[in-house]
Amino acid sequence: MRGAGALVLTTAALFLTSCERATGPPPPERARRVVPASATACDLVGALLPVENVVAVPAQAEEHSTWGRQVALDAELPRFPSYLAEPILRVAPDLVVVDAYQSEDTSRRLAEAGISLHRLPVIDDLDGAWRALTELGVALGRSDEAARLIEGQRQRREALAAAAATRRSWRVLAYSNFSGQGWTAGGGTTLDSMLTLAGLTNAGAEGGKTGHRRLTHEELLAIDPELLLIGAGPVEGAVSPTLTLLRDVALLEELSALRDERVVVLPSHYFSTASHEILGGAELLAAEVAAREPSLR
Amino acid sequence: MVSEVLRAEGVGVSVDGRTLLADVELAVAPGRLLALVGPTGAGKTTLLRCLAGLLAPGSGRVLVGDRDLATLGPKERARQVGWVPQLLPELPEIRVRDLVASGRFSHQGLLGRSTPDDRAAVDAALEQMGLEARADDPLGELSGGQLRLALVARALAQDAPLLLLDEPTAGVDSPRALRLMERLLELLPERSLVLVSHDLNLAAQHADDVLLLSDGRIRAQGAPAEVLTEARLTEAFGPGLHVDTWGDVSHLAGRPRVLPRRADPKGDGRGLAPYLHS
Amino acid sequence: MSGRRGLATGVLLVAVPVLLVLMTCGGGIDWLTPGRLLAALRGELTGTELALVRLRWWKAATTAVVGASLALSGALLQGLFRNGLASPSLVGISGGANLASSAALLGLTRVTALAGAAPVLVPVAGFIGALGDGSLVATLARRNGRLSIPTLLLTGLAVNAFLAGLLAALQSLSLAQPDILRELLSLSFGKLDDRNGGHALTGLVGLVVGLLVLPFVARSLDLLQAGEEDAASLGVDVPRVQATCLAAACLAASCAVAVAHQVPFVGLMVPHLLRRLVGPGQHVLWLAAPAGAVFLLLTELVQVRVFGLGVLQPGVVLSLLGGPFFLLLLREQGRELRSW
Repeated sequence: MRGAGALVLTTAALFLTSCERATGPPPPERARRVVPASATACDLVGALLPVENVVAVPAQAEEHSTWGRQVALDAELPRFPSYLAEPILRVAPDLVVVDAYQSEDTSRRLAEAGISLHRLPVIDDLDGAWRALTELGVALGRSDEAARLIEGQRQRREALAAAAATRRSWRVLAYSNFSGQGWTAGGGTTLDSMLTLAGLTNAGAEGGKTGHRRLTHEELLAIDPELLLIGAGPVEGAVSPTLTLLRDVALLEELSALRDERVVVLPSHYFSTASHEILGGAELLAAEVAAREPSLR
Repeated sequence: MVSEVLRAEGVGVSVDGRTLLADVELAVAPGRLLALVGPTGAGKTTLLRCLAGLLAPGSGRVLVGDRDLATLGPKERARQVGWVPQLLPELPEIRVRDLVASGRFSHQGLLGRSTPDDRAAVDAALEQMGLEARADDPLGELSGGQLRLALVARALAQDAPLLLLDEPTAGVDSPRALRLMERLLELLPERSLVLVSHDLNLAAQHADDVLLLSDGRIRAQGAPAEVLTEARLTEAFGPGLHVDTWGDVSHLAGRPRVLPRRADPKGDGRGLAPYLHS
Repeated sequence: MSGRRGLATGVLLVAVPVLLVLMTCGGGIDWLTPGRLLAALRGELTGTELALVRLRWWKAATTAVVGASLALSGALLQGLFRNGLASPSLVGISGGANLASSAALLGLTRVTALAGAAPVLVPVAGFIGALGDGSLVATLARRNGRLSIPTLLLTGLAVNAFLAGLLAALQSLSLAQPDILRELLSLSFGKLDDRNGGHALTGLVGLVVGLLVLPFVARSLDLLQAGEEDAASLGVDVPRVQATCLAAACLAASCAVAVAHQVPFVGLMVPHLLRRLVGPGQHVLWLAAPAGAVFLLLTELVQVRVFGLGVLQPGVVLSLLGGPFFLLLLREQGRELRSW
């Protein structure tokens, strides 16, 4: 009996210590060799650091990170297809910036090897992204840059809001479908936050619906948004797979947004962003809406 | 001191409310051959499986020596009762020697290692069944009769004082069946045998005792001449069986001979006609 | 199997795994020379190189142990079921583990305070799911205290289908969160990278239990091939052997899926390959563990060399390999296949 008790206690103790997330040693005062481990981390790190301080990027950086799109990444820069310890150890970073959801196993192996880790919080909206930027600024020793960036974004947000106040708030539905089932973004998502910033109404959040959820063609017809917001595909210059799919369904010809061609196609690095680039996406969206203003009216 | 190798007391089996066996009482004396006969579906094989401990009877018990079969562990039981099945699933690549050697399982320890004793028992069993020359052949190359001999050899290697055989001659042509029975009879003084057979003459010619079953009940048991009478057989099988004797064949004197006989179309009262309308 | 051939096979099955473990230690994104490996053994390496050797060593150890456990589990189940289609996933072990691990992972993303416990909680959930599901299937397949093998197979199928539905429902919760989906995907197609000593040790426990059981059931399983009644007549304790084999197979496979998640086809394929190589019989059981280790180490080594580290998951390659292999096998054995 006593043996069993001891075993339970040891297990509990082990478990409690295991709840601690791996962070590794404290980061250097000013990190110079940084690995952003996700597309979101790329956006945030890229906003605070010169590109030469980034020593490896995830393979999806060019498609899903705005930063990865904008700075021409060196072809020689190591890219890793998934978050694994070995390719990251290979580039001997002094800080790895990890997304909240990324494998804790890998983070532990990195911490055990003496690599410092900074973990990003879950980002749902622009304020969350700013908090993440502030924390990252501290970890990178670049708090001033973070503060300046946030201040600049604050002014852009106000400008966006001012412009939006002069327009009607269109009912917009974010929709995505890669030949499987379609889905939309309800309240509490980054897309919802982007629509709000652009001064638009998220039709996917009507009735208090939150989170990403499946959407059937029937529901799509019932919502019948004034404007459809969809993501571009992975292939640059090609027609968005979601748009192709929508046009192929005869039933959906009734959709007023499709009939009157009120569809905004957002580059996928904006459509799937979970960083402060929500604002960039919102600006792009607002501009697209403004350009269609006559037809919308 | 018990004088029987095997004894069944009030053995009954029913499945889903259907009675397969009821109130079976039997005893096998050492060194004797008991034949279980009866029509198809009479419960012969069910009884044999109860006697082997492969089927737990719903009522009554089976005693081996003076011990209840149900209280024996699997290995202990296998050392007391050897079982010769009618058929094996196809295992064509197994060698005869390996099949026979599997009879030694109940004599081996937890790890199943074979000892010189085991090998000697296997060789002896192969020799007794005349299978030495085929020892290294795969089962797939044996004839039906040889396969039976191999299965008997396996039961011999098991070294149990009692062997239970389920239809040992089924599917074997008559001359070979006869030779198979002769080999079995050679085992007799040291071992006791119980066999199930649908062949009444096989029982009539070779068995010391015969037990006639129909509808799960014992209709008669005793010496072949007492059990295999025309009246009893008609009762169990229905009409059509004629019983007479071997006449002047001296070594079979006193043993009945059973022949199926078609009904007389003129209807002399001994054919099928009276029963067809009953 | 002749003695000489058996000996040669035995030697190969010890030497080849050792060689493959060494190669896995040396190979990842790039090769470490044998000299560097030796230096690591002598404790002369530091920093990144030492960390790399450690990572690869635990990956090799986990891969070997997982491959061995799954193959052993498959061989036990195929022997028990007298059916070449039996495998750990068929009795629901993979499905149960996958569902429980996925639920744990998703749950942890919501309860951030416990998120750090994922490396412990996810395998624990997987283990409980695997063993729970295996026991559920076995219990449902019992009739009057006896294990019915055909019922077990069909029960496994039904339970698996049900679990797959639950899993799909669970996965749809994280529809648009690519990072979570990516993590969930690793549960479905296995993960052998970034393992540590705890993973290897957990896998080893199941393997050792499975191996310890072998000597006690190997001969009985041989005898069971002629049917349950025939084995019983020879003195085999059929219910005990069935329960022991099923428990050992479940435990070995559960530990494996707990540490590496779902690694398909190993448990199904390795026993078949072995029977091809050395013929049927209990030696397949004895050779299954080393052969499974070789099989998984080799496929993992080859896939990392061909596609690069972290591009494909082990399960993807195994499915690509396993599917066609199995079809080939079915074609060749066509005349022996019966459904009646």
